[in-house]
Amino acid sequence: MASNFNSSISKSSKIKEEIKITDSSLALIVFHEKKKMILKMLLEKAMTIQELKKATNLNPGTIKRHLDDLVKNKLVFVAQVKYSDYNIRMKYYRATAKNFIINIKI
Amino acid sequence: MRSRNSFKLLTEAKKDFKNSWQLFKENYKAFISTEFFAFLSFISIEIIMFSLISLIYYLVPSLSLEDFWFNFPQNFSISFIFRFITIFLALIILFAFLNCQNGLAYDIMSSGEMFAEFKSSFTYFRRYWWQYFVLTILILMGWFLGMIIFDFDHNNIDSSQTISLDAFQIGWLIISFLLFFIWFVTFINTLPSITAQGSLKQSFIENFRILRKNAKRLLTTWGIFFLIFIVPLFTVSFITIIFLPSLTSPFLILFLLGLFVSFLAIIGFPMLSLIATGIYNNVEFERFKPFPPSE
Repeated sequence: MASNFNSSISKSSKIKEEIKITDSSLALIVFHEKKKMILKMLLEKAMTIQELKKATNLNPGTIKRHLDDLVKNKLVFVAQVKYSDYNIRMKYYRATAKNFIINIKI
Repeated sequence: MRSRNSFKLLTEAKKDFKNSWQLFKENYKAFISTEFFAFLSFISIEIIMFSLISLIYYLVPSLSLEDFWFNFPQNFSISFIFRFITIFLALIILFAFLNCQNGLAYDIMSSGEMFAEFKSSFTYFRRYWWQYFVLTILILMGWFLGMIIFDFDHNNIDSSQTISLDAFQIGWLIISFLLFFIWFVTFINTLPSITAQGSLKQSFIENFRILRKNAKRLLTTWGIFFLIFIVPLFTVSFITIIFLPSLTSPFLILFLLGLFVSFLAIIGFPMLSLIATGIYNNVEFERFKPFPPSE
């Protein structure tokens, strides 16, 4: 579906080069198998849930739940909202950084 | 100029069907689950009600079956309560849930996630159950009004038990069907409108605004919809009513009837919701809530 026009761009549109994760609970989220798979997809480019579904073979509902978790923990954000030529709203998700480094002191 | 306009209308209708079909293929589980739940609830309520009535009939020997069904004027209150509860309540659930598919279509096209889940149907049921029911009755009224006026002349039943119709009656049946189509097109936009902006009164206002500005587009798209989903069913139903009493082997015609009913139920109803929502999102008219919806 070709995109006609861009709509809103997220407030935190600047993607950081790297984010250091020092919180162990956040590290657990990143190490979750499916969340890690989704996060990895979103490191390089913004994708919709349907594109993530094709890339990961996961159910869209499952992807949405994991994305909500990642967004809540500021690992992912809504980078862009576009509309197809049939006015179907499409949210593009992107990782908040290009690299995530896990640094936990015990 | 006229052929260019016709081409444009057909292109838009093709776009409506193509996009709706694509979205249906990606989300068929949510739609079919909603429909399955709607029909299952309808049947369950009917079974429960009839079981309760049977129990009451058993426990109160003075009551007879006629009190519940046939003696409408004599035992008005019992008959009315019985009919109201067993039929009306079940129909409310059925129509409301079937129309929750408009909510699913709205989620798919307007939420940004481009998918819908079955559990969203319950959210839309909670929000709009009585509005969906009222609007469905309104839309279906177009058919019933035509059928009330049309009356099979029972003297036409000949010795072979086939109902025969004269040209006038066949003509009136076709006119009733066309009137139903016009009525349907007149009110169908209320369903996506109520889902998008929540007010019944405003959904009627928006509906007529859409109709005023886009009548040809609506007639073209819904005309094609009727040709695909309703006309075959109508034709086979008509043949069934006329010829079934005289058929020695009715299985083929009953099979075709079942096939077209299933086709309408499984694919037709979801496509109806998706096409109606697609048209609502794509046509120009004065809206109560801005489109596209803000983040």
